[in-house]
Amino acid sequence: MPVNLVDLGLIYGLTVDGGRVCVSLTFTAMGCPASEMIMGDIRERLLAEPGIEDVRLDVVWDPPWTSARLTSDGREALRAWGLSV
Amino acid sequence: MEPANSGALEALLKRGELVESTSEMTPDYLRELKHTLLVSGDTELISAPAYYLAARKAPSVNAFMTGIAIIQDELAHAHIAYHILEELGESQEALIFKRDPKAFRYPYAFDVPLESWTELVVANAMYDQAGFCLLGDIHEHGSYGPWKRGLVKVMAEENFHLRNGRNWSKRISQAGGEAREELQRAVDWMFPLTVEWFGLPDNLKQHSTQLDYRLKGLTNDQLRQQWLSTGFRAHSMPTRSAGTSTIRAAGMRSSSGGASGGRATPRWSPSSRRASPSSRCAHEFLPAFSRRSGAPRLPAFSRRSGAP
Ligand SMILES: [Fe+2]
Ligand SMILES: [Fe+2]
Repeated sequence: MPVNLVDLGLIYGLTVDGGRVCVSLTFTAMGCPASEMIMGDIRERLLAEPGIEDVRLDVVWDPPWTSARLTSDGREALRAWGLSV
Repeated sequence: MEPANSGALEALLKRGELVESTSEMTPDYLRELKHTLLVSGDTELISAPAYYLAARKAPSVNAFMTGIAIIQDELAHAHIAYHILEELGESQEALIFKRDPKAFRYPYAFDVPLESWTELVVANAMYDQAGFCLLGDIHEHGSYGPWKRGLVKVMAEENFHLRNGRNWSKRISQAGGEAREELQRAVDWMFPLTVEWFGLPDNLKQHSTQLDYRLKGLTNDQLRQQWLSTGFRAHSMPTRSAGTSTIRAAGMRSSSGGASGGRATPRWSPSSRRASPSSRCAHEFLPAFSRRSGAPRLPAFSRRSGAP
């Protein structure tokens, strides 16, 4: 999908403590087939930042994702892609 | 309906316009279009059971879900092609369930069973990348409107499949040791089979009606080169120094197998575009789709009932 994780509303929070980043995130569905891929991408990208040594990912299901979590940019990108949101 | 005359069709194609209905087609165009759709539908369909055998070996529940999601996509892609064939007057039911398994048309690669998760992800990186090139060409250059539009989402989904292949290949390669050797063996035997996927070299192919009718835009060699350049650049399988595996198959052998250990040797031949009689797909997978006599048939939705 042509939309980033933040605009899709998947990222619930992010804290940085020294070299450690904690990201809490959710997925659009519990059976999201891309969840492992997404977490791998996040980990790889954050570890590429200077000074980051450890990435913790916390998958959150409450509150669950709904389309209301899309940012206006995300909404527009999905519409342009042909999804009705 | 009176078929269009070839002059009108030729002019339409020259103007770069799209064919939208059978009334604009000549019988020749219709035949070529149907053939191209059939190869596409059969290839997507056969990939589902082929991938399923390997997806069962997924290393985690999440990986299994990814495998199953890819298989579901492939069935949907097959359905798009068969559905268009139905609109062109063929019976989807007959195409899928009543055909002789040996009549299915798909690349030879699918006759060689995928036996591990590693082999599945290399197939995602190579076969799905090949599908991505071939369908991308039809999506970009194809002259038949309904198919061109149907491919928009197919392309997005194929992108997911090949990314799964690339990500996992990288991960397995970085793990090193036996995992990486298994990855290398998979690359070694799948590479020549995917090269074969694109058909005869241009210099052996006299003439392409598919190109005349703009059912595709690029020649076999152009598509093969595109596959080589997109599939094996930085992300997926370049050099050993980048921590991934090498392509050793540059010199293609007509019966490769030395590197694949105890595996049944693929009998590779550049022209075998259909199931060989002894192939596993033809004998095991396809009959599984066929209805046993006496099995209950579900009532079909009528066209007006608002079926999805
Ligand atoms: Fe597909
Ligand atoms: Fe695919």
